Amino acid sequence: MPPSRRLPDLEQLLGRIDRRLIYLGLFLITLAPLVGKWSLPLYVSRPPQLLYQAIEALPPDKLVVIASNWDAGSQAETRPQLIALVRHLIRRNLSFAIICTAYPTSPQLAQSAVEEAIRLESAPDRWPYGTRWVNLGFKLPDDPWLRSFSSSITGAVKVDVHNTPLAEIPVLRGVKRFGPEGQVSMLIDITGSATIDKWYEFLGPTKVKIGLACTAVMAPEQYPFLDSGQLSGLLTGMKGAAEYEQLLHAPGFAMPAMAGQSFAHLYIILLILIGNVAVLAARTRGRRR
Amino acid sequence: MLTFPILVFAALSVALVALALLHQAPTRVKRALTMATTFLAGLFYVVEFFVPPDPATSDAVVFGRNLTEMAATVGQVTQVVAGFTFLLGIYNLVFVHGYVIRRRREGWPNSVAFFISFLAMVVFSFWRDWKTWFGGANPPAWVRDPLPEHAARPHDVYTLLFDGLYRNLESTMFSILAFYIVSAAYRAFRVRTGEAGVLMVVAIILMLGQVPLGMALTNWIPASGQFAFFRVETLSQFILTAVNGPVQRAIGFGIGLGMLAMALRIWLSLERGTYFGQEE
Amino acid sequence: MGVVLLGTGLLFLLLGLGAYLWGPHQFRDPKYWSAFLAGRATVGLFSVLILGAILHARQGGPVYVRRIAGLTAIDETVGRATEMGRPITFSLGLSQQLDIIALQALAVCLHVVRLAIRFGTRVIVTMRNATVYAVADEAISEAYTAAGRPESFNRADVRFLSDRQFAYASAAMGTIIREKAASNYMFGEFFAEALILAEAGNQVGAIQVAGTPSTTQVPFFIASCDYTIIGEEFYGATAYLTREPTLCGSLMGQDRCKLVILGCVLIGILVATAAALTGHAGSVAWVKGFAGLFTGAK
Repeated sequence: MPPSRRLPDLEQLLGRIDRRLIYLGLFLITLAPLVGKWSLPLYVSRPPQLLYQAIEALPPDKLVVIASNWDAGSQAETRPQLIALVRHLIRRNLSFAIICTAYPTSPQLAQSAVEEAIRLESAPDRWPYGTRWVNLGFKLPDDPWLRSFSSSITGAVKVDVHNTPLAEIPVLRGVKRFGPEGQVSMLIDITGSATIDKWYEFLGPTKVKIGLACTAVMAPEQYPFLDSGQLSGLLTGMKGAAEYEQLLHAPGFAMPAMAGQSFAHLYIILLILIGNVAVLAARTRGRRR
Repeated sequence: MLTFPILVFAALSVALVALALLHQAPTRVKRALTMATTFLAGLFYVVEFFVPPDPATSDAVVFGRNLTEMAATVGQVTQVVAGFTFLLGIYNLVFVHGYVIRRRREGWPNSVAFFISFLAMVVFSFWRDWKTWFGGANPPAWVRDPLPEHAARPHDVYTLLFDGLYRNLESTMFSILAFYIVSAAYRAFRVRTGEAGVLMVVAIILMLGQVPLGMALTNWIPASGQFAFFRVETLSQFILTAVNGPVQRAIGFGIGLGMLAMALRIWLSLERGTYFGQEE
Repeated sequence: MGVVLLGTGLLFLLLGLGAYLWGPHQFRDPKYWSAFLAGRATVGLFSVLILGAILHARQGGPVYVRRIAGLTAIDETVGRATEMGRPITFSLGLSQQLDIIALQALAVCLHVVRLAIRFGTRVIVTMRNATVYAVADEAISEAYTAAGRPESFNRADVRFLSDRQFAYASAAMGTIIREKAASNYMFGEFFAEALILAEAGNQVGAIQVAGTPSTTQVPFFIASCDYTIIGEEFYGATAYLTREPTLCGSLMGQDRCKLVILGCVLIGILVATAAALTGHAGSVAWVKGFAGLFTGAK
């Protein structure tokens, strides 16, 4: 048979699929569950359970600091995490303060997410800004500032995001230090970058509980810290947010979105297998020659 | 009232004179000054770290001086310096894009777009918050929407630029990753060696263990008992904690030691020749 | 080396004795010292080991550095760019300040720049942090001057793109694609945009070398780059490339520190195993207590 009429061999067909077709397939396979509103049962793993239990065990008269260190790029993972965690804090009646040390755009994003969480809990009246929560805005995370913040919050931060002096904010009255002997019982870092390393370093000696909600790609390197007890709990990406929503029995954005992520993972596995079939076909052809 | 501007002017003048003198100084004087400044600056933090802290405050106190509090002041100084270097970055952007426009190089409309978007964001950001920082009149409603009923989604230019454009563009760029991961995995995960085979199998187990559909594949295995280990989520957690965890620790030890070694070399100026000048 | 260790040990012993005898009352409380000493003693011991090894190497002591494929490939990839007549792009990573990682990336960048100057190849350096830009601009300019080619330095080739992560990624991606880079280097701290940069290099057929201590991005670099430098190999890059005694000695010192850590790990495993086999719970508690000194230590 002339070369032009020969069927493309398996390696050519399966091993060199056009990138654009691959992207189109991914788009369709991720979209279908979202449009069809498919939902799948979720198994809650141990790290989110640990974080849930840690927050359940917090004393009611102390503050929780949430380091909201994410921006628009990672909001699909980190925004549902923040909303779920804030909803839990509201249900536990725990006041909290937001601080941002990674991106100047984070305070606005955190503000909008917290306001949504308050709306979802039907608590705009009993959870006013300044009395139950505060947004401390963005600070540059250099080591001297972090050292200062770890030893005295009010020493390192003078005003909130609206430029109100901290002395005029009721929720921060008397709040100074982290740790069991201080007024802050826990710091939860919600992040898409490596901000948690600094919290281990500077807050570790204060013995304050540290929780982490991070993007999925960051999670593998945090397991040693969870194992050693330096982390009280861990949420991993959108899956972590979905697991936390399941623990709270409060479905949000993450739980329905997990179906899309499931099919996307299966699609990737399928493509990897197809690519390896092509490699096998090429090897077999080579051996036959 | 005049003290602050006079102090600022005096500080700037002293800085300019010092810079001019340094510029004129011979290379070995500049090098000696750099080494001395680096050593003294690092020594501050070394002493603050090694001095036993006061048990009541956990602060390092030496001869009545609280070094930990001084470090906070140093932190504020470094924030100010970092703010100035940002001006350098803006200068570079203007220089590079201005050069492209002046010479009508390929892609010059992109540089025009850069200037338009940069100026738009600067103008409307400052205008929106001008009253908060500098006093004066309220900005018009189309710059900062004052209506409480619009609090969730203000109808102003700043919100259009930030929430409407910037946030969505960032999310778009992050979303590109999902597509790139697929094409990179398809291209790279070809089993040509034994190690590549192990990598592929582990990657598949981990991917399945992260999603409900994957967990559903092994849901039929009892959750307790001797075979529970073979449920994909259990296997996935085992790999992450018992295999990945020690490896991360090992890499972490190496990285930590590398950072300590490099910090020591920079503090003691043992890195001479790497950045500036030649090794003597 | 032994003299250095002995001398340092004696000095600390004397300081400790003096503190105990004449210091404030907390210095006589064992609990105070157990919290304070662990971290500082570790840093002190490791610093002495590293500095001792540097001294040994400077005095002509032998130092062996194993072959690292990615670093060996740097010279070849610069040559490839020269042959193809296309520029090199070098990303200094996304450090948020002028830190150790950014400085190390800059050190590797300067090695590439110095090679490229010899071959007359253009290098476009991009970065995210303005402070890093200030230092990089000056260092690269001086590299051209030191090589006797100040007129070849183009300030527009050292680019601060943006301090926003994805704005930087899209600008760097555009630079690699528009300039049709022949070789693309990515050294420094990277986050999610790592794969975006690497795929851009793939699209133009660039040969890519990546080095990062960010373990989260290593899998993406391995999947999309030709050579990847992992973990502490990143910090050993300048020693490997220059073979300078101070830097090689520093590598040797790090290895000695790792032997100390390995020794502690082995002792802990043996004690914990023996305790588990003999049912002696107290020993396991001791091992956990010892480890706890470091997780809470400053």
